Amino acid sequence: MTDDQKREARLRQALSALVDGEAHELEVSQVLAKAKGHDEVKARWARYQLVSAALQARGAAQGSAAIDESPATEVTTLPASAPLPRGFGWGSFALAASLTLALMVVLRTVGPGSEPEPRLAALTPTAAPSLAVPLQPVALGGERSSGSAAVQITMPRAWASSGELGPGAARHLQTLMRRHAELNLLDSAGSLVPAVRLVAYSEAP
Amino acid sequence: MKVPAFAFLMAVLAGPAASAGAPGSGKAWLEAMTAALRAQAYEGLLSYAREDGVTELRLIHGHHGSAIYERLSRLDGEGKELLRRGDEVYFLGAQDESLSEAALPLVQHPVANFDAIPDSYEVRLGAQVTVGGRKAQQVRVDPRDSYRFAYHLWLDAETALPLRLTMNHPQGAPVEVMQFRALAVGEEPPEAAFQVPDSAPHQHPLAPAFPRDAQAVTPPTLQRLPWRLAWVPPGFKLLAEIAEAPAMLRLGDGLATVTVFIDAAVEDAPVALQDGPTAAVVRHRPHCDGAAYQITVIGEVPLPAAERIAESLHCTDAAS
Repeated sequence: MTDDQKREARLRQALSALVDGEAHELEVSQVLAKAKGHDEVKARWARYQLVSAALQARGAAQGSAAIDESPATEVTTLPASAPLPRGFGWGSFALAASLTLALMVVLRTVGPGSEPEPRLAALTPTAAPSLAVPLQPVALGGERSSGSAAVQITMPRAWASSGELGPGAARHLQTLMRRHAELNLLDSAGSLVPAVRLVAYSEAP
Repeated sequence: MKVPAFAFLMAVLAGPAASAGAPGSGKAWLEAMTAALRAQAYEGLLSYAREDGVTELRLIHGHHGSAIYERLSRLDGEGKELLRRGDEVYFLGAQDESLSEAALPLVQHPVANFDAIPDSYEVRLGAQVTVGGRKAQQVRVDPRDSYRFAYHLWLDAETALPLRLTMNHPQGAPVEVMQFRALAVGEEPPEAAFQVPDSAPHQHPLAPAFPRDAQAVTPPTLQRLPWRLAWVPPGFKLLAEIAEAPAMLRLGDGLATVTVFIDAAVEDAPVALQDGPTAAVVRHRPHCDGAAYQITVIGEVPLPAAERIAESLHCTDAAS
């Protein structure tokens, strides 16, 4: 099985989990590095080895990325109370994520060379749903020192808006809010939050 | 729970600015998260929720040499995508106007910078919880006043990647939630994942090659504007002054930002609203010659703070 076929298999597994009603679950997998034949991965391993060497030199070694030519070395070899599986482990971990919506699970068709390879499920709402996966809300802040975390997304407005916002003003304000979001993105030096806000931006202010 | 040693070391080796947190502290966790977000390769599905809905996104994060390559795709509604290829950022699928070249920042300023939390916030280590079957460490970044929002993060115990991040009202209720629903870590994505489509409509190279060592560059002052702000929230600084019409003032405290737009064309009625994490305030302010200007303050701050900033703007006779 080629790497692409393996990715497709993982994708199908993820989709299957979603369709089976497990869409609320977070699935985390740790990938084994396949250094042989991948110069870029090797370069990263080399950087990790520098980190490892620095760690040992400082006498604070808690674990390190001991890298060699073996393809079965984990990127992160730190001790974890819940070790990640070696290789992809879709479906191995569960998270109560809690989003009150119906998700339509559709595998996006990707044209060659124009889009990234479909390595994960694309979730796209359609007018004629065929695979609806309603997710149940659970309570926010219900984390305990053991057990699943839960989150309820009910966010009441803290402050009522004041003033009239006509269609023209709304469009103008939307333009300025978008500019603000774009500037945040460019200033953020790769931070995830501004990028997510911009791409997920709601058009109607 | 110890900070993941690998991520912590990446933060330490990244430079002195990223090593302020004591080992095991909340700041150390945030430094580790920042380092992990940049250094790790990962791909995930994440949900972004605010009071008016939930959006699903797909994130692919990798590297090309030392450059960060990233693709963030919205999976519902419009097919928006953000593509970052090192210093180049493209926004694909956008049909509305984009920033002009003149409005692009010449340098980067600290925004959403979790590895250098300003004094206006208190960083506390929260509970150790299980998130998605994974041990996670909660870190709370709470404001010391009511002029900014709080941030709560749940970081994976092994990788320090944020499994969940919420921005909360000072009173505690969440304003927005970002949460990974699926996450694969460790394998560099194929280069094809970051290809810029030739035929993509509405393709805007937003940021062609801004300086890499941006923090070391003096913030730009494109033009001194004949306006002054009598008040900004404590800890907020002037980040940039952009002379393009409408003129813009950029303010920030390291995490939150506010943009003040100053427009000679008064078109809209005064309004104040909180749209999820973003406050928007429109006011009319006279300049010294009596001419009215439309002032629009937009930022990820509570609405009262944005209103107070807007009200504090006043004219000055001469640029200085």
